[in-house]
Amino acid sequence: MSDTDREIVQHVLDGDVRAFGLLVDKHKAKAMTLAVRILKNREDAEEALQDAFVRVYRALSSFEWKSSFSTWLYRIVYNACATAAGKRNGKYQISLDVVDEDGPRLEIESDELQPDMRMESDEFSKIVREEVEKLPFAYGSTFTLFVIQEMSYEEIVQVMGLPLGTVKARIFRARALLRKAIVKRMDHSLAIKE
Amino acid sequence: MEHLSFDIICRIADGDMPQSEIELHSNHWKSCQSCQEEIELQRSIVDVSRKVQLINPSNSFTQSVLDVIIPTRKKRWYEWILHNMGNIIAMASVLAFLVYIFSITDTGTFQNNKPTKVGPILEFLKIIQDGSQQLGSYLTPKFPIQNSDASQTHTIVYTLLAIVLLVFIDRIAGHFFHQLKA
Repeated sequence: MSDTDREIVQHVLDGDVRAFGLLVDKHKAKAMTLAVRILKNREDAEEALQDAFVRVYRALSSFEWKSSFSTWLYRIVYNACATAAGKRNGKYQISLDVVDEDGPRLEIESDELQPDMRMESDEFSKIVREEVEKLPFAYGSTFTLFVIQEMSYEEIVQVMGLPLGTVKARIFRARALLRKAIVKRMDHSLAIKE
Repeated sequence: MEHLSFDIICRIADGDMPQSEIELHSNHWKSCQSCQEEIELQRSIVDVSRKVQLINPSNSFTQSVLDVIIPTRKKRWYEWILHNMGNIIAMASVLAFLVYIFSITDTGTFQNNKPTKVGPILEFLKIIQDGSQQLGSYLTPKFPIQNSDASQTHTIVYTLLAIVLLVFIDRIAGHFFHQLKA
């Protein structure tokens, strides 16, 4: 995939500006998903994404391939979205009440899982999707990079410019929040069925 | 019985734990249904999240990005003039009108300073001036500047008229040249 990105970038740098459209087409869906997760609004996300792709184009000649193209792209998308969120909200709120820079130490509540909780069910999928969308900015964006972009912790560190411990803590916290919300909703839906 | 910590459960679920460390926890993990369910839940959450439908931007997104980055062709000088013809005519007309009005404001009369044989443009301007003077004399008592010099009042009225004329000519000329280009 990176080789293909590299070839397209080379075409663009050689003067075929329209080839940049191939890069946009290739990455726009995942980048848009990340942007919507951060900005929680489709129109704002598309505007920020367009801004990000224009920035990518203008900085293309200075990209040194020290990371993959997609990691670099998502870093620019993330920064564009964070800037847009900052402009929109004055200052976007990041609540990191349990973040430990040295790594996750959070103890979660030990609600027992229901033995008949069917994790492959459509209802479970629906609940997970809804709860992921509800995650606060800091956790939602980090978790999205982790699961949808399938990035490693190190790649997420490069994208977000945060320490490794903070990235791990955010993903850990996102999963804990998801677990709590999902178990609560599944318990509720099981109780209704009974 | 002490269950595995949430951190360890997540790492096992992600396959992010070396075999030697897994073996340390395997005694508990393999015999504890609760921890197995927790690991399975974490795997399911990640699996479902990965299968989430990606959000596509609008169909015109790629083109809109290209429109921004591909420099537009520079307009040739005559295209620029044609494109702005409405504004140019309007500005020129209003400028000529204002210059003419200001040139006669000091003397107060039209006839005394102008040749007796007037062209159609001067005729037109004279009609406007007469109308403006009538409008000015109608408005003057109602404005707080009624005690100021009459020529000032006239200048204000002429300026207002000039602005109206500017907008009018601009719209007409713009419409005309737009149709001409089409």
